[in-house]
Amino acid sequence: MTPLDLTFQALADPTRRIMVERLSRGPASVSELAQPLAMTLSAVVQHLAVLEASGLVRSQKAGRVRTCHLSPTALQGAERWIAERRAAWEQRLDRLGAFLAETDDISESGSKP
Amino acid sequence: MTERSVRHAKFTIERIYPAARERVFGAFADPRSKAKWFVGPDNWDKSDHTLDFRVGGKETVSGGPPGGAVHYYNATYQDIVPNERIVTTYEMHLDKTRISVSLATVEFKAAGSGTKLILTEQGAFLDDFDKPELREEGTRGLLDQLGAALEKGVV
Amino acid sequence: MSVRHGSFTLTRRYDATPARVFAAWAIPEQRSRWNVHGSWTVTEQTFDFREGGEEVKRFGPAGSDPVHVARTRYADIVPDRRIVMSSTTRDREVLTSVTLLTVQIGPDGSGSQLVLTYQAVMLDEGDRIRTARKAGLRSSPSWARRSSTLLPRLRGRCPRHRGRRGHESHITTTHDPSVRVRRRHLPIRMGRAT
Repeated sequence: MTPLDLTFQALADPTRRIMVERLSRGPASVSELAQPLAMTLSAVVQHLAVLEASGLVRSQKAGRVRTCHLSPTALQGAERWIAERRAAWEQRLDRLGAFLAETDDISESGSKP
Repeated sequence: MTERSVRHAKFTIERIYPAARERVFGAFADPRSKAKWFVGPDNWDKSDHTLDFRVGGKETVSGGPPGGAVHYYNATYQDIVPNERIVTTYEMHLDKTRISVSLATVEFKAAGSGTKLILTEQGAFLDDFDKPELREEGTRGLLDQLGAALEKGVV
Repeated sequence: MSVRHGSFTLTRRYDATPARVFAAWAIPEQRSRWNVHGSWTVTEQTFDFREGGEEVKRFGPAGSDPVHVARTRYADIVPDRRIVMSSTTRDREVLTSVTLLTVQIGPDGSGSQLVLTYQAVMLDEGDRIRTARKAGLRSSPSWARRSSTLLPRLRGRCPRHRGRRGHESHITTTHDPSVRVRRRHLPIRMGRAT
């Protein structure tokens, strides 16, 4: 996967987009990131792992607290939101392809009433 | 089989008008003012211009050369911020055929005692009925007409 | 207050006929299988796939209120070939973007090529949304807003349904129990566009 693919994959998920948007306003601890999201801390940590793997987010641990920040190379503002929309559509079109492949042996019965 | 095609385009036009933002915005917001400059060529047959200036409201106007195809403009207001911004989606038809679907953003910014207007259009031009370059040219013409109307004091 | 414009084009090749690819967009049960929102929950999705038809989707983070609302209107539909639609997205009733989406489907050997073009204006309403989130209030723009009509007016041709009765209204549950699918059905008037 190219670095750009990883970025798109990272931004394909709306929860990760919320996390990136929060970090665009300044660094945050993992629990600060988790706070507005109604999910377990371990789910948040998983999302964070994807963001770090893509290079969008960096984090460091000081004592018990892990603090995250947007990588300097991360897309800013205007470019980021279009990258997010693009990532979401890339994901949908991939799922469309999977759906068409799954239903390959079914004839075009869907077009009948 | 009919050949189908779509050209996508974006253009941005800027103008500076020697008039306060409230006046320039008013030329878009007030139906009687808008009808003074949002018009086709003089020799065209013209319909009434209807404008319901609110989010969700519609705007329609049509016209065309005598005996020729009729151009229909149908817009829906998506966002209005007084004296700041107007966002519309609009379609054009030639007689019964849809020729384009577009997204238009107009921003009004103070420029000294005047107003800087920034119009950005993003559009899908269908089946080669209209060319983006011609649409841009036509839009420039409309903004020139707005300038003339502001200068004459009719808006 | 700022406004940003952006666009992109995505191309795919699928081993399926244009009619099947088009059906995946046009038919509610099929569209629900792939038109997802990542890990977010879609709590409501209406369907009205015809020129002039309007659809509403309510969605949000899992476990939270569905504060996002997307309204889509179909402007142009050419069966098996093209769909052009415009959408608005609101976060807690604050408009955040207006989008034009074009989907072109064409034959490509034994399969199809799909070209998706996205053009949008993004409204930077971050401050208004954050205020709304904090206050738990819904902020309203200063101009009156008409609530979305979920009873579409009948205009234009309805592709693929000539000579057939309109469908009847009912609520079905898709394979994902968290999504309620409401299909809007109305008698279809034949005749030319007004």
